Amino acid sequence: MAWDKFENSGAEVLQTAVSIEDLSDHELIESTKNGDEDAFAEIVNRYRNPLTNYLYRFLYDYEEAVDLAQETFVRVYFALDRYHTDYAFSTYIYRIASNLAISEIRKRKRRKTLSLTGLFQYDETETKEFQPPDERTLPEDDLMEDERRRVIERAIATLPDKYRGPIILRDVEGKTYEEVAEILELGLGTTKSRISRARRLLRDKLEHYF
Amino acid sequence: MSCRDFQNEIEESSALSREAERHLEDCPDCQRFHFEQLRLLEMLGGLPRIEAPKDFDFQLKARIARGRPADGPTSPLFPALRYVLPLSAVLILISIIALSGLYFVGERKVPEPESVESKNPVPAPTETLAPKDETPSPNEVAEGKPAPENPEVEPLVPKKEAPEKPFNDETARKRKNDGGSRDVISAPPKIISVPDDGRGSNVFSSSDGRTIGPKGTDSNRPIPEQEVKTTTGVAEMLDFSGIKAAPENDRMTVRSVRKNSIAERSGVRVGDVIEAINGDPVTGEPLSGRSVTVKTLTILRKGQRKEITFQSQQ
Repeated sequence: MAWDKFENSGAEVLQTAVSIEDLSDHELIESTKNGDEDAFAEIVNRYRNPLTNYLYRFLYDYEEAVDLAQETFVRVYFALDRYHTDYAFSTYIYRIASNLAISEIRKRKRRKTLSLTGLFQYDETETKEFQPPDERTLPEDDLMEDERRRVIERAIATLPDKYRGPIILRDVEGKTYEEVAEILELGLGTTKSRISRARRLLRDKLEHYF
Repeated sequence: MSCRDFQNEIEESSALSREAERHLEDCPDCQRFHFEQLRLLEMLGGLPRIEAPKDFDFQLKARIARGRPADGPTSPLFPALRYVLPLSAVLILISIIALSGLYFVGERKVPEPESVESKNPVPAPTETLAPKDETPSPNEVAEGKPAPENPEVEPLVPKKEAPEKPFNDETARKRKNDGGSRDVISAPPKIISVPDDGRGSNVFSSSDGRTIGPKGTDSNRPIPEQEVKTTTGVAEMLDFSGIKAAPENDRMTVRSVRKNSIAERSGVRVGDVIEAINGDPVTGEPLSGRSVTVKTLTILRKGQRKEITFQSQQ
């Protein structure tokens, strides 16, 4: 496969983009298997932002989220032959991303390089996180909204690992219970139970904002 | 509808059934639960979407280019090498550790003071440097030489020996038999003299008339100083090097060579006649100099004079 096609420029891309956008994920995968790098570029285009968002909510670390999102695509690319269309491609790619995120969290716990207490525990005084630089003076409402957003993000990040994935997929990413169960390879009952438990924990953490 | 059923229903769907709506109107707890549930979902759903960086595709392309097996400097053997190389390294490491262990064990092992010729257990000395009792070797037995007296039954009475007794078999045998036992002194005697015999050995005379000598010498035997120098000098020096020698026809003859000793490694053999040590002829007189280390031996073997230089241990 010629990866150089991935970044074709000009009219050629414009011509093929229309048709590619109409293809389903499975069709794009099949095209990629047949050597169509544009099809894989479309896959990346569809999932890079959702995956980055999901992994960021999971890891609460933007650089790590981007790194693992790329790693997810690399694994998909080199394992195309092993991909089966038994279930949705989105389930497949989210499962890879979830496994990578869980592995990363386990590595962190082993290495203890990043202070998990400082990174994942709720701490009102904690201000270190990914923040795009913004020199503007925010109105009071914006400041409060920004603060509330950070509190919610931290509250998610402090959930136990087994609850974090289900609630992000369900309530942040908008997946159905069935999809969450397939992605995380859990039973439907277990998935519902974990999501319910995660919401209860979040309600306790965010009670000041209700 | 119970509160539990209601809560289960709104956990799974924000759209309420007619029955759930009726329950909600009458139940303040469920109203609060419903409100918090909706608020929570609103907050979670309202989180801003985090987007990938603009150079995401470029970085991904680079990673795929790096990670593509066909483009890498790989060979068909690469998968095998991935396992063979670490395995080899581990095996080499284990071998080095094992060899080092064997080497150090060999270094620590004190060679048994087993004579080349003597196989009989000798009961006396507890230290390796202590002179051992002379037991008849198979060669000596074959030659009909008498076995030395048992040191355990030898009385600890002072022996009457002439200070200037010539160096002969009898003197040497008695000297050997005197060695090998070490007195346990209940009260430390007063040391009244510290003579230096010029060979680095310490022989002290105590106030009670006993001689406190080096290990392996009989401290109760009031041997004249001259005799001590004469009889212990050559034999002790040789014994340090692993050689048991005794006068034979007024010539110091090697009776046995301790296994693994420097003497054995240097080529000293039973039957060699020692003519000189470190260049000093063996005449029965104490050797001059303070060193007790044998560096060179001049021997007579089968009528031929030969000089043996002791090799240091490697």
